[in-house]
Amino acid sequence: MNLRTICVGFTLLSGVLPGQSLPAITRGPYLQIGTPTSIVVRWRADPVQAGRVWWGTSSTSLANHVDTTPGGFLGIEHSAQITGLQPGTRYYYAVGLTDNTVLAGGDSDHSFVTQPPVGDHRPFRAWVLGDSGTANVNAAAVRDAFHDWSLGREPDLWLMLGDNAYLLGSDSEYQAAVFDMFPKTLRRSVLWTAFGNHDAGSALASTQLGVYFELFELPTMAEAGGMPSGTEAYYSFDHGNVHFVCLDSQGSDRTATGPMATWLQADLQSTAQDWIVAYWHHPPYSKGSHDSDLELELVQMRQEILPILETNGVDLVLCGHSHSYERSVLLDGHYGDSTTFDPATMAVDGGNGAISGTGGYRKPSIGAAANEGTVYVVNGASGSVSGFGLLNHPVMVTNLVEMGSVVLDVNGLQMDLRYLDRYGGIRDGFTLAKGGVTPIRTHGAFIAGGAPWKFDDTGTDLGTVWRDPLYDDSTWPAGNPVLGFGEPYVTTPVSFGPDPSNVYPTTYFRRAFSVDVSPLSITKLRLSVGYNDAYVAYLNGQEIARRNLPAGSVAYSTLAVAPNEPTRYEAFDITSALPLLLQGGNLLAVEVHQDGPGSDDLVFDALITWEGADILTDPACATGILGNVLTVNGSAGGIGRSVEVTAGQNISAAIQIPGSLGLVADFALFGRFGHSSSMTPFPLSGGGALCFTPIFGIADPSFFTIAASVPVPGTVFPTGPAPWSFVYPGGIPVPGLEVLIQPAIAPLGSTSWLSGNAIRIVSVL
Amino acid sequence: MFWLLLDLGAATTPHGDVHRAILAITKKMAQRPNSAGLHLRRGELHRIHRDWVNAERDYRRALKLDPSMQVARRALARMFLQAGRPTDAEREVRGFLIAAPGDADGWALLARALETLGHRADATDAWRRATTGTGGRRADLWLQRTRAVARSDAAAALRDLDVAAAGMGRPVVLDLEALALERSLSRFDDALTRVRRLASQARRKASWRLLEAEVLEQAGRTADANMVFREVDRQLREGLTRARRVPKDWHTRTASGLRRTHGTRGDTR
Ligand SMILES: [Fe+2]
Repeated sequence: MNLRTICVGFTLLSGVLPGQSLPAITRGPYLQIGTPTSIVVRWRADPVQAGRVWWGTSSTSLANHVDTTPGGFLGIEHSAQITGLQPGTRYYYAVGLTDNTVLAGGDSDHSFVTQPPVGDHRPFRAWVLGDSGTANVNAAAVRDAFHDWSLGREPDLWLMLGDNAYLLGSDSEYQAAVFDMFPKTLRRSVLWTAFGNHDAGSALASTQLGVYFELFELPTMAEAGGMPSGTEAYYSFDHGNVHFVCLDSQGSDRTATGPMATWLQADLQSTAQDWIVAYWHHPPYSKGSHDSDLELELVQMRQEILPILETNGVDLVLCGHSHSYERSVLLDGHYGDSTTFDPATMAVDGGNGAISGTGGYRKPSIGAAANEGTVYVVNGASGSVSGFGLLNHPVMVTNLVEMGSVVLDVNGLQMDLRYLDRYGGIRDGFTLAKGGVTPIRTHGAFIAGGAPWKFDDTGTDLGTVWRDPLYDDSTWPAGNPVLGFGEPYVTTPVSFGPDPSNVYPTTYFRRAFSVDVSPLSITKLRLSVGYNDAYVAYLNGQEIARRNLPAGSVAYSTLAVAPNEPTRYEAFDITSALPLLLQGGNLLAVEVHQDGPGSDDLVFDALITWEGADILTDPACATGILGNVLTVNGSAGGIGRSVEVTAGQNISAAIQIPGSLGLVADFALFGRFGHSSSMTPFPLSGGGALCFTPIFGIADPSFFTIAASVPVPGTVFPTGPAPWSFVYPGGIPVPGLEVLIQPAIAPLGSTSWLSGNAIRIVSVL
Repeated sequence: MFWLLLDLGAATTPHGDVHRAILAITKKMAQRPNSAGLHLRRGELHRIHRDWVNAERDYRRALKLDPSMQVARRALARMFLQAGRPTDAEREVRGFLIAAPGDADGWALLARALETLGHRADATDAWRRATTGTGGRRADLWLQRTRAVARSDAAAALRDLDVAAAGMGRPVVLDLEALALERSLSRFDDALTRVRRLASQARRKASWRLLEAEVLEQAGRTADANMVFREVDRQLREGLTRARRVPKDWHTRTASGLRRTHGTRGDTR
């Protein structure tokens, strides 16, 4: 709620300590209404005093500030809108008092990245929580699993799908379930929320009064894109090339002729974005703890609202309410109850949408095209699960009673959604691509769960030879994970030896696995280990990770420095081991150590997963990696990107390389003039009229220098750190001609270039 | 005051399998027979099902179980109005408004009951009460008020609406309502200004430009209309070559607009 408008309230806010003299932050800071050039910083400080927020592009130089007057029902809410920011830029901030006392911030932890320019194609990630408001260990487990799995990458934005604080959405419940639960993400990423039935326990949508509307500052006047809704109960905003639409299935008129539907139609018809993602609380399809055949809100959202969304090209719908995870096929036109679902006419693609399964979903058009299909996700298990319901809705391809959260990755014209459970495992996922783009793998598992490990539990000191990929483990037994003893969830028991008071200190595990993507495709390599009590892992004979063991050489008898009782697969960033990874056969060897002779349990399993973009499947997909770092005329590339320029306009392109790729590859930019009909396949060797091939020799993974370049007239490559850029003055000389700017990648020392999907520059009159 | 927070949504059309929903809630009530909330909820379902007798029984039961749940009385009034019993509706909602004099929805309900009874002046007064205070920033109430007042005085309705909309950051639903009024009042210049402002806010302008063409045509500026129709047509065709499709009715509206305004500029299409 806009604090300037708060004048009435009917709920008591907690957290006020009368008589306290030293001001303290009692809530936040947290970030709201992010745009490419502005953001709102909110916090609560007590006792009441005027506030100040400072910001700058370095944590040590917060040169700008703006003051706030406390507002809100109790006069303790601070809200500062920071404007005049640069898009896609990291800013640091601090909050405090007008006498320059800093109460929080001024460190690297208090920072945010502004949204990219509207329509920009650079990849981004949204984290989506549904019904997370339990404020207990379950919500914390879902949170921690995400942070751990993310390997330090904060989401670019995050959504809460309603029922954010049980039981009545009161101020103190919000304090526990949101502000005390997610402080780190709150101060670094903009949160966008939907209104759930439990939030309605302390707030009213029609008047926008009550706790929910007081805590959250949401757009009413299209402050962050879209068309003005006039209410915080439902709103829209743009992020990158996605138009997000939040609806209110709880307290607003859900009919097709009501104000929300009228606004929705106008809003959707006014967006030029590549994607539309809609979210609200009550799912239109669910057979979980709520039944979409029976309950009014669910029925109405399906019958009244879905036709508007599908006619106007919505791609993805995210809801909560049912405390389960349910995910549909690519669907269109199913508005009746579940018995009326006809896969022949209503499933645009009845497969599972996984590239490794029945293939990614494809929608032929770019942008908001009518009735090309929508995927519906029920994501209501971020704080609890409920076994009620048969979980058999016929539109669903996946049904899970497992706590977790949704990770949504958008890269140009491809979108990948995954369900990450509270143990750190991916339980579902699909890929959706638009505009004729071939869906490509942007993540995958080299070692997935469930397959057998070889192990040696004979209590023999094997020295170091067992780590070698060529070591003969044919006599070792094999068993499915989880392996170990002393825990009820162990599938394959391993021996601790004859004496439980003197267990074997070390057990050995080996797993051969094959890699079917080029290491060039990988920007992040992740090792996830469930272990008790300590481990060292070796990839193809070289150590890549260890935990809970002393530094230096580890012997058979070395003990863990502390016991470890795993609650999930702990994720380790092993991207720096990328040069060790071979296309084809590989071997992971792991030694697990006990913390003492009396240890009464042992647990082991491990996964190796990757993020990036699969160059082998489709060389054009190098854009999946490079698209995020190639910009043309200030607009970042993504899969299937094109930009328009006027004839004669300068063309400027810049490229920035992910540090991990510097370990394994060289990079180049290629460009060419031509006509659209003759632009593909793109000649890498410079057959066109314009060819520029700066080659960046890689020495340091975090810093590249240009080793050699072949400049052509009109191109200028500056030296120095990334991003490198060039300007081609004059742009396209002849209207109708097109220019391709194409990133390319080659293994270190090789000259065989794999080309990225080009950014196509179209001249318009 | 807790009952004020009970949010019933605004279900108005009989849709979905209400029978099954009623059965499900009845099953729940077997375990909690004295739950006022469940009775209220089932009353709403009966009302949606247009089963006035059972709806009334459930609302009254809810009130009896929890006399502080005055919102059930408001629901009862709404049901009466829907059932064609405006006098009963007026009686109940007036009773409700004594308990909750600031309730915007209650005043709106009273206004609608009074309108139905033909008490125009009193209804206008009730609409004013409904759209002051918390109701003053509610687009749904302003829409209802505008439509009611416009039946007797469209110009006054438009004037009030514009003032309210400006204070609310111009929600698009109120702009669309004002646009319809302007067209009905033949205030085409105002309508064009409005639709062009909306177009300037939108990143995809085709649907607004189409609307502009239709207003121009209505204003008798056929040649201008034809020009805009042709521009929209070109945009839609261009979009298709770049795999950008639009809802089918944009094409049909454009095509029929072009047909109607054909020849006005010596166009050979
Ligand atoms: Fe819910």
